[in-house]
Amino acid sequence: MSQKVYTQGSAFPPTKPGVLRLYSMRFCPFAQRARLVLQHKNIPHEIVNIHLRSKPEWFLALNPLGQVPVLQIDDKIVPESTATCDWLDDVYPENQLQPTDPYRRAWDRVLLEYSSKLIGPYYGAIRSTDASEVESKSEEIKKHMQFFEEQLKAREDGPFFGGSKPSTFDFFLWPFYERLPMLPLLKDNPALDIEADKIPTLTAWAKAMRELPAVKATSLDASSHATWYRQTLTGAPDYDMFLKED
Amino acid sequence: MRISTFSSQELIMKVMTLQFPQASALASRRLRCFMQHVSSSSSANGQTESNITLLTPVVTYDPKTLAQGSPFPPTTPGVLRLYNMRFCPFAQRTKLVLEHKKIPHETINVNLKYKPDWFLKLSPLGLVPVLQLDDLVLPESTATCDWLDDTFPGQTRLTPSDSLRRAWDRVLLENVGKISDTFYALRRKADLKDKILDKLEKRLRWFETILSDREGPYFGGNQPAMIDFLLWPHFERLPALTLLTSNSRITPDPHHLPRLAAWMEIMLQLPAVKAVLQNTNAHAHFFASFGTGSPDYDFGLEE
Repeated sequence: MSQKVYTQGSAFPPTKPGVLRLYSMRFCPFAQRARLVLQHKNIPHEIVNIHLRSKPEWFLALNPLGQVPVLQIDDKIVPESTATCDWLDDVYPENQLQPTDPYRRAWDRVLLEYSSKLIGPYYGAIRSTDASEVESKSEEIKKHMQFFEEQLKAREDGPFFGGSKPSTFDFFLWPFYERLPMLPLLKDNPALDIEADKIPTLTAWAKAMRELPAVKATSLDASSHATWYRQTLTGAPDYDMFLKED
Repeated sequence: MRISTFSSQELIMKVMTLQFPQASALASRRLRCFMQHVSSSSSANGQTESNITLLTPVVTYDPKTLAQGSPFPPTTPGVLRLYNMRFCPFAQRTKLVLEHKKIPHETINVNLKYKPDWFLKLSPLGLVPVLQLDDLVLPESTATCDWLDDTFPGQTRLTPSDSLRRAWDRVLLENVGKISDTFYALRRKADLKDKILDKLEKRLRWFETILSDREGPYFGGNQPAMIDFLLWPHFERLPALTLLTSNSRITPDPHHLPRLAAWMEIMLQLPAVKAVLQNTNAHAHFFASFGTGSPDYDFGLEE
């Protein structure tokens, strides 16, 4: 199946009975969460990439909220990154991701809710053209990462938040962590980098995450992310950049 | 749920082994407690069993908020405590679940503008709700609600057993933020009022569409589910928003959002909702006071 984006006016690519489909976008961190879980659990699936600035009508009919990721299988549809990931873990048994202990599960929820604080300053920093505003948003992000550093350290059963194996939260956090090194490149300001010695536990976590086949299969380097965001700021990003298809 | 009571002899023995800071006064109060063993069993998705003993609180703390400088109200071993604020919609979620599942607990209301040091030490995030039970501390509305439902499934299991329904309830939850954000957005960007209210109306229509696809009257079906309690606090505040903005399109009514209107009516009949409810005037007053920078946390409490 082509990985090229579908835009407004495009024809709906027919689904096949029993085939799980993910509506996605190759640079979207929320969609990456679903892709990580699909890969990690070895769930067969196909991917349909959506042009998020020129959405196909059939996509909006499928999901009026208009966002990726969305899962579709036969008549079932599940939007929202956290809902899709939890549903996949509920339905597909291989490599269980959600903790079984209620207290651990509750604390993973705390961490997930806390991680939403990253989103505002992250996109704010990307969009801002004011260097001091960018720095202050970057400081906010660093402060939040310190919180995760402390939380992971306190768990004492790493390297993952899930312990010796990753849990859903590891995959919820990863896409944003992966993108942090692109900010200093995008803004041409090395001061925006988080020093590894300030977050040793997270640095060890990242190393372990990068060894996971799911992360290898879905991640991009900082330079590619920076190129993508640079294009989004011009107003006409090439959703198919870096794709090698005829 | 297995409930057992102890003979007074056994009770005295048990109480004597509890640790408490101020011996005699508390000891005599505790002798009046009876213990309820609330044991939770494995649920359908294979969770490990947890046996938590909850004491019914006898000490009733003043509902007035505790601020910076106030002494820490002592905890009682075995008593579940909720750190709360009577007008916080997120803390209200947890309070609703506690009430609906009839889980014994005590409530401490916290001044969120001038937070007590002991509260920040307990929960560095500094937000309500927080649950505390002996050395267990858990913040965050959805985490506390889920933990309560997992730990005390009892006869009122609130989490749906169907994974697709669970997923869509999650979708609903992720989208209620746009409703709760409206209050703050209106204050921050008063000039964009029409645009903000348009967005709110669109979001409410989306909720109406989802509910229309369900049997109802609750989002959970013929009984309320967790999502009903997670959504309720935000909808409870809509009439106050109508009052503050003089905009009639906000509060669901049978003409333009009939399923939501019917849902609101039936929710208002639930004992748990009634127990925690603040009326429209109280919400409007609190919200206005919040805007002045001096939130009236104790509004409605007698002097």
